[in-house]
Amino acid sequence: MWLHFVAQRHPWQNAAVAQDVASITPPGTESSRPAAIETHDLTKRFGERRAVDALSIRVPRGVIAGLVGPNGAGKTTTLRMLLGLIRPTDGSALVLGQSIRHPRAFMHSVGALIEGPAFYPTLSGRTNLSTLATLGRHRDADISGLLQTVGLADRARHMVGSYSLGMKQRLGIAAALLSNPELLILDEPANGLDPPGIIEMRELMRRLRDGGTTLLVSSHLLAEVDQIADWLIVLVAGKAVYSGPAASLPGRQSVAIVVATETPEQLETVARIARDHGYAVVMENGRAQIAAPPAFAGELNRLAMRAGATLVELHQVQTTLEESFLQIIGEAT
Amino acid sequence: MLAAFLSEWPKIRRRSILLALLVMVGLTAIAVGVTLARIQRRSLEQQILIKTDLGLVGTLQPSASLVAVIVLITIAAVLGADWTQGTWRNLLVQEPGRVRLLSGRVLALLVYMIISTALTIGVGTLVAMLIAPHEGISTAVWWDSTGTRDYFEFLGNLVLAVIGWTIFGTLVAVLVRNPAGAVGAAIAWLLVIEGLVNQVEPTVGQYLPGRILSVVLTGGQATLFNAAGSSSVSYTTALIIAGLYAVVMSVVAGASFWYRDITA
Repeated sequence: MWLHFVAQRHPWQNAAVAQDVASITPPGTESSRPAAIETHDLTKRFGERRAVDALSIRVPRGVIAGLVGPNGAGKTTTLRMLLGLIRPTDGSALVLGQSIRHPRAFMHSVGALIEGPAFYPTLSGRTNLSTLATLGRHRDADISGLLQTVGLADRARHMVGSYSLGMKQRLGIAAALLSNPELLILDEPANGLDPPGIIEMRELMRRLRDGGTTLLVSSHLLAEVDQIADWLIVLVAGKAVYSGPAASLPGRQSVAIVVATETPEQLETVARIARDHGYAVVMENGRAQIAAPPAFAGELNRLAMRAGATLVELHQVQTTLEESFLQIIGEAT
Repeated sequence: MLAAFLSEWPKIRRRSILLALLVMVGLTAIAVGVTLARIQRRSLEQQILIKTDLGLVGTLQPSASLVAVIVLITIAAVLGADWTQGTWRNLLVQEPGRVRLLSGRVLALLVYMIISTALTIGVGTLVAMLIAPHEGISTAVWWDSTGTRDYFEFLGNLVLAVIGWTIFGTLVAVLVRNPAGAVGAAIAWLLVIEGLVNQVEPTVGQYLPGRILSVVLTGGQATLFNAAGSSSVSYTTALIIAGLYAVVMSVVAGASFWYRDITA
């Protein structure tokens, strides 16, 4: 149903997507359990403005899903609706198989950090966590362990008002983990973190995913998302212009083969071979960039040798998420 | 609701909330001390009243009005701050039942306010008992059977008023969603709106929440020390109207909190 919907809206998404879904989802889980998140025409209007516009997305269980989009695309509004903080104007959504209209049915299995960490500044980090654990009835929550995990054990007894943004962010992640969640929703989790903190965060997210937790991570740091996301949702003006496996994002499969030869004449020969096979070639800085699939590299090497050209450099360059993202945004707008 | 109630207590230990208690206790002690120390400069009627079984209640009653204002400000500020600090979203992730969350929190704050009020009145009583003999006032009559009954009736009425002010403060905080705005709106309602209505149309004005709670607070009897409770509305009528206000305000606050988006 969902694949059908996406295929209708975006013809460039093909059946390969369905195969990719299966390939990144733990065996047996896809068919037996509902998706972690599923929305159908989810809409939120603020006055005349449609912050989220008929959004239909799906996040399978056990993946890190990246939610990306330009400012004002509706990322935070979507997350808030999924958590029951704001009510949809129209449409529906299921979180862990339960309707978002009844958040009590699923929130005990969800952890979240939304729009930056918000704590009581005159209470210590430990007390803030402890009050949240009491409120959420997480009697088994290992607060000391969580503080250790996020690197705040030394400052746990200090008032949150004295924390840096990065420390508050770490505390926010600890709070999100209190319930040992099945689904973790993180809004800009790398905000304010220093480079080692970002690396630790990335490793933590991977560990959680490997342990079976589903993560939905909203971020404007595309390079970060590129490194961790198995699944991608691209929002533009409140609409999903892509929702599917990260590897299937349009443009991600585009690979350029970069070639350098001993002489400029040999480079021209190689370029002619590539053009003869129907691939576009750009000559740049003494190299030829050939828009061709990886499989063509070996054949190109053989044909170049036969033609008397010696390749001194041959490698592939894959399109970055940033480039794909810009391409999608450009197409959508 | 129990989880929300229990989770509120560590937050109540915050300095800003403890400061409200200190202000209540301090100002009450000062007010009682000043009232008794300057009793000789007051009217003859007041000098006579202070030596009757109503003397202690009459001395404490002006402070009770102060306690009511501090309760209102504290509740409006504490709950309103959760919007500006963005802490509601953290709390709602842990307890998505909005009405349960709000009810549990308000109940904890109410219990704290009642304890603070009892402590404040206790300190005020102690100060009165210490100063009165130095001013030639016998305290024995304050604690005869009538005096003791008056004292505990006064305490009971004060607790009822504190409940009323807590609900009123909650409603204002939920509607305004900002601590400074909530405190400002509450004070503006009591001083400006109720004051104006009372000036223009006293028969209507006396039924407004602030006036009704004043009647409850004074037990329907204005004393010579506190004329604020003077009203043609009887104590029983005031209790019934206050109960209706409490129900309506609770429902409106709960419905508003349940329905409106948490965007902070």
